[in-house]
Amino acid sequence: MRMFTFKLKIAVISMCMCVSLFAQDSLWLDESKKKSCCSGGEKAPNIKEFVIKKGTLQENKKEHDFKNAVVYVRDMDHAVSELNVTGGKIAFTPIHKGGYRLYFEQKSVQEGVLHVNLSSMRIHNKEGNISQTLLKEVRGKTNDSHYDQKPLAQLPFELVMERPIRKHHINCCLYSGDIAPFTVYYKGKVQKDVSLRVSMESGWNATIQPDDEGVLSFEIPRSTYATTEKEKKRSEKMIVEASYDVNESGVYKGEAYHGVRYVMSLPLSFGASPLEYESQVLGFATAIGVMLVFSLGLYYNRRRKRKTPKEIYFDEE
Amino acid sequence: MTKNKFSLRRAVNNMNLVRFRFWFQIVAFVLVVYGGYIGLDLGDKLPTFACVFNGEGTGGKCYVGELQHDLKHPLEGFVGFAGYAFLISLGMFAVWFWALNKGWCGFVCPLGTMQDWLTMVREKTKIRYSEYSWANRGKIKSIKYILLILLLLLPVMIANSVFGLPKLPNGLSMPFCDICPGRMMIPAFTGHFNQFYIDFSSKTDLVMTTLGMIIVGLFLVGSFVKKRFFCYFCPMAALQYIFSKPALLKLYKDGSKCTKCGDCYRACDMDILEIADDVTSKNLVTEDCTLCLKCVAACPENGCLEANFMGATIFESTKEGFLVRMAMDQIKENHAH
Amino acid sequence: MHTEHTIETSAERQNRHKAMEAISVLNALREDFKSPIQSMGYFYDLFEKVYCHHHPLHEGKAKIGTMCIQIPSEIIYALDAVPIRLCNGFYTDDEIGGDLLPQKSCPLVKATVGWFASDNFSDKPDITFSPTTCDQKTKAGAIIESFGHTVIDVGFPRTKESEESRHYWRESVKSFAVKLSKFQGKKLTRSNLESAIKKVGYAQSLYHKLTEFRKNKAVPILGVDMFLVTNAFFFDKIDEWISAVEKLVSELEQRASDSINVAGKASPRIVYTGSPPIFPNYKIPLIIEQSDAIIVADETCSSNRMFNDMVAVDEWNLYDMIDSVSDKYLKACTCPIFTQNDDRIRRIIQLVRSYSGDGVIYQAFAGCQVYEMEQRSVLAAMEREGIPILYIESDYSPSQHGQLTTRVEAFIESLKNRKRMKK
Repeated sequence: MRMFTFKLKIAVISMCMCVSLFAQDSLWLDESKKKSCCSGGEKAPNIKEFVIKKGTLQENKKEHDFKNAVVYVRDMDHAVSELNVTGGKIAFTPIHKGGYRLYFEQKSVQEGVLHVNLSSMRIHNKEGNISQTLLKEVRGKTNDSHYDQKPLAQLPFELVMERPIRKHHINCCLYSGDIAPFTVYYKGKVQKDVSLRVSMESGWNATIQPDDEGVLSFEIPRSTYATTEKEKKRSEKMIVEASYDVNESGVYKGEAYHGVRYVMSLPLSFGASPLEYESQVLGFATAIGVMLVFSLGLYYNRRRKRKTPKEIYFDEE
Repeated sequence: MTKNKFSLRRAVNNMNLVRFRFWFQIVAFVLVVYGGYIGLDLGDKLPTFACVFNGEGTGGKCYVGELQHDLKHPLEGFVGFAGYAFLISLGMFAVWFWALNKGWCGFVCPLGTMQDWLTMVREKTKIRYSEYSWANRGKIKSIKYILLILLLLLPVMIANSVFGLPKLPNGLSMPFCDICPGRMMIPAFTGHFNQFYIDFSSKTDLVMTTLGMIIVGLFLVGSFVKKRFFCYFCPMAALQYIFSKPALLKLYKDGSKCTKCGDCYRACDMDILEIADDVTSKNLVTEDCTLCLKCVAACPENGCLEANFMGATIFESTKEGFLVRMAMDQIKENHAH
Repeated sequence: MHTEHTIETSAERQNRHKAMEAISVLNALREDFKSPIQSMGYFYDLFEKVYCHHHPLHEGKAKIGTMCIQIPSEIIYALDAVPIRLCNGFYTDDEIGGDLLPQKSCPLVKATVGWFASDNFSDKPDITFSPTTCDQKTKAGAIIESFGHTVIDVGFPRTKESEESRHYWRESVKSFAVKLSKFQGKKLTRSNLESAIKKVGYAQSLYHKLTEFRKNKAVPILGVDMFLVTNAFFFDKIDEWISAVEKLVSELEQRASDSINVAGKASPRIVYTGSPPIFPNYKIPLIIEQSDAIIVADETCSSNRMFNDMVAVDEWNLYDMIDSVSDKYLKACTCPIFTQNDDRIRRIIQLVRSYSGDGVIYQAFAGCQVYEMEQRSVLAAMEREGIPILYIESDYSPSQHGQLTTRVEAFIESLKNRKRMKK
């Protein structure tokens, strides 16, 4: 495991500049809400549908142009398959129960630069296909696919999230106050000079500089008190994004380019820190208090029962 | 006479069970609690407290946690995949369980091991153990079944409105995990003390997490003074007992050889009276038995008690083994007098 | 020549009578049987020394009298004293005691009381602990006390299944230990109790080794010899007893490998149960073994019941050791004073099975009410199991010898016939 330097290098860049910069490049995967369907009692197949969003989180615009786009799916056993994206829809029927990771890639040449837009997200599938998933269910699985995943071989450039550092008790998800570390890979190697842009639904933006080992980490900021007070278990979206320019020339679909610009986004969501509504000190105090009361009770109960002469004539040594 | 000839069977029957179990439990503890770090993944249907909350360290996951999770589905879902998945999980749990029977409790369970460690500490400090009176012992038997029923029912009642009752709050989705001392104690061994907390976000969470804190306090003191304090209340033991009959590992007793001397009962951490007084049953794996085999080690009658795996005796009581374990097979030098 | 004439005192006369009783049994053991065991010599000599020459064994040590097996010898040894079991088999003492107790009393209790009445010991106990086992022993304590001897009652429950009994007996043993440690001015400690438990346990393990040989087809040791060995444990120095039995074990090992048989090839194998044969009252065992049968196992409190169960400790700390010691003397005991006797019946059956016994001889002392009362249920159980059994009532008097011999011989003859039929 890599050691993180906890010095966070957060540089908040002035809002206006940032927003305009983001607006051009941001593109991310999002799961579209399932329509409650079913005509005539027939069960709907377990299809997951996804859309591509563009712009800022606040704008949340749908993108319908899937020209030159590829979607890869990596399952819990690291098997990779390619998805069909024809018809303006990204649809996928997961077979197994568990975590899958989706990778979206779209290439286009603009002004002599090849833009490779990438986005990746993790989805959890609850309903598997019983006839094909039997063996997997029998075996069961402990390890999760949330973090620390190896970069996908099919993509030259990738932003990968590592295991977050947290002070509370919930293992699975992200919460405010957690330290979220990221690493950037180019052709399988860690890049130590790429910065990370973070933007949140509530409007908080930041650019993160890497540490000596190339790890980009930041503490997820707390949302305003006003919102957390109202709803303690709310969640918020955020996008982290990194871009990387390569001096490379070539021809893509008949168009020549003299540089490549990779941009990868990870759509994430986080909740309000459990530490906001739980107390560890009180937890310890309760446990220790119970221990004290219980052991004192036992001690006095035993003392009451013990008769004096035995102490004189028995000796535990 | 073949007295002095070496034989494996004799060596096994003469073994120091306390030491064997101590090391076996340590190995099992390391695999279950730290196994994840070396890539061990035994799945999420283990019939022992391999705690989910232990995060990346855990070498497998406890089925009781999975069971509560599986049951939190709308009833319609059980017709489809969720139902199948539930049955497969249950089946897999049973298969795991059958291999060792209740031996999972006596040899593998990390929470049981912790209690044994606390017992060892107490023994070193020469503080007397506590016992339940036989009457109370009988009464608390049912608690584990009540807990089992609750942990099965509550998740179902969250996802469904049972008998027209309103659905339960989501805070009860893992009702047993909330109060299980394993949730606090097992992650503590990988350096995570963050399961010690009280959650104020809702009334149910507040009640359940406070209850959890109280129980972990009781657990620590209780298992210090009473051997296997928590195991009397363990719903896993109740769930296991339902599947215990076809298991491969068994504790058999030959009642005709029993003198009812009660040595086995003395050794039993779970104060199971039947082990000494029942001279008619063959299978002595009772609901509270942890198959720790201490009774076999304490039995002075040849072949009266035995651990049997698929019809083959693997460890049986012998007079010689008893004498060796009690250090009565020879006069030791440096006597007090 | 001038010869001095002295008049024999009553104590001297008793001693002479007792010596005669003792020597006649010892001589029978020494001479009446084929292939004698050399290392038995220690025991013959020991009994001769103590009962014919009144030689004290434990001078300088505190001697603790015990009225029954239930007084834990482990605790006595731990407190650096010697247990002397006062169960007595002398007809001479029985006759003396007969004047002090009802006519129909148990001869064993009469003999014990008689012993104290005559106050004629080679090793006189300094203090006696009397567990409240059977009625007669319970009441005998008070009579002995009236002779000016210190007797302390130790409460003993008559049911062993209940939790209350268990607690009661544990408390009894604890208070016994307190009283004894006060008497001795010595603390009971973890280390002295632990080594006492292990030493007594080792002694018991030697007994178990001896009994193993009796499972052989060719039995290398007589039942009466075994009774003598176990009887010696009543009063002998434990260390010397241990080394003598160690020698006996190695001699028996040799005899077993040589297939030496002290009985005949067709001699029926007898399991002996009932009132305890205590030296020199070996009347019935001697009749049995002189009638070409061999006692291969027994279920009596002077032998098997005293040695069979060892203390099993879970935590080697004082608190658990005392409880373990108490449990051993209650839970494992098959004494007929208990309300239930299933355990005793199962023990007899188990002994018959594992020692390949051909029949059971059940002796009850006339006046030993509990053994007499259990007779019916044991006989019924043996009938169910198809085990031949002979029930005999006897006492310490030498008068019934002829009649008893006839009955025992007839039974043994029928066992032989049965054996032949089976073949």
